[in-house]
Amino acid sequence: MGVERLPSGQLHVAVRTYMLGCTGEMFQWWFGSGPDARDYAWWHPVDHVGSEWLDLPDDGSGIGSTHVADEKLADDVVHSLKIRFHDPVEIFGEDFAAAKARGDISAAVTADIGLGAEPPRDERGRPIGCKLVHLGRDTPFGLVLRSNFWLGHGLPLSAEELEKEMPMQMGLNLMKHSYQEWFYLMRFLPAVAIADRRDEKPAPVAW
Amino acid sequence: MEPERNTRRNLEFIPGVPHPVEDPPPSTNGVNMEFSEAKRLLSPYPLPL
Repeated sequence: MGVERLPSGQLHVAVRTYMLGCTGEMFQWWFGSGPDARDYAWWHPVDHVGSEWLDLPDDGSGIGSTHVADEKLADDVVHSLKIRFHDPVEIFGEDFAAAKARGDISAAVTADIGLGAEPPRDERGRPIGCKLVHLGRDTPFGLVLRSNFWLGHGLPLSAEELEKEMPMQMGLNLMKHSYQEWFYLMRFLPAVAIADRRDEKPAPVAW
Repeated sequence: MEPERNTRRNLEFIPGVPHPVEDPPPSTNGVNMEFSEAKRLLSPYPLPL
C-alpha cells in the first residue's frame, strides 16, 4: 500500500484491501453487472456521485464496456472519468491463465481511465491518462484485492509536467478513496451477488 | 538482578520486560514499478503491493 513517483513522472498508487467474505467470482460479477446509480452509491456513499455504462456486454465480463463515472477522490472535487475495461490478457499475456490455474489470481479487472468529460484518447479510441489493474486472490477468509493505478500513463508529458499534473496529494487521495470503496463493497457484495444469481445457483439458507 | 531482556530469539512473554520490535526490511517488490512491469503483480508472494 502506498504511492510512489516513478522515474517517468507517473504516480504509482497501490492499495491492498482484505474483502472478508467475498470471492473473486463475486468481484468479477460486480464489474460485469454494470452497477447503476443506486448500486454506485452503495459502493461509496460519500464519494460516488453518478454512474452510466456504455457498451456493456451481455456475457457478464464487462470487457469492452466504458464506465462513465462522476466521483470524488476523498475530497470535495467531483471528477468526471471514462473507465474503459479491457481483457486482462492484453497486459498479462499467457502468464494470466497460469496464475489463475495456480490460484494466485481469482479475479482481474483492467482498464484505461481518462480524466475529464472529454479525455485524450489513443489511436483505438480508448481514453488515456491512467492505467488500472485490480487483482484478487481467494483465501479462506475472503478476497485479497490488490489495486494498482498508474496516474499519467500514456499522456505526452515530460516527467516534470506529469509531476505538476498529478501531484502527490492526488495519489494519496486516490489510495484513500480506493481502500474506502472496497471496504464499503465488502459489506454488501456477498448478499447481492448471491441474490442476483439465485436462478443459476441456489442461495444458501441460514436455518 | 536485571531481568533477561526479551528478544526475537526468546519470544516468550516476560511481564514488565521491554519487547523490542525490529522494523521489517523494506520491501523491494513493486518499488519503482512502471506499468510495463505490471506482470510482476501476478505473483502474490512474498509481500506484494
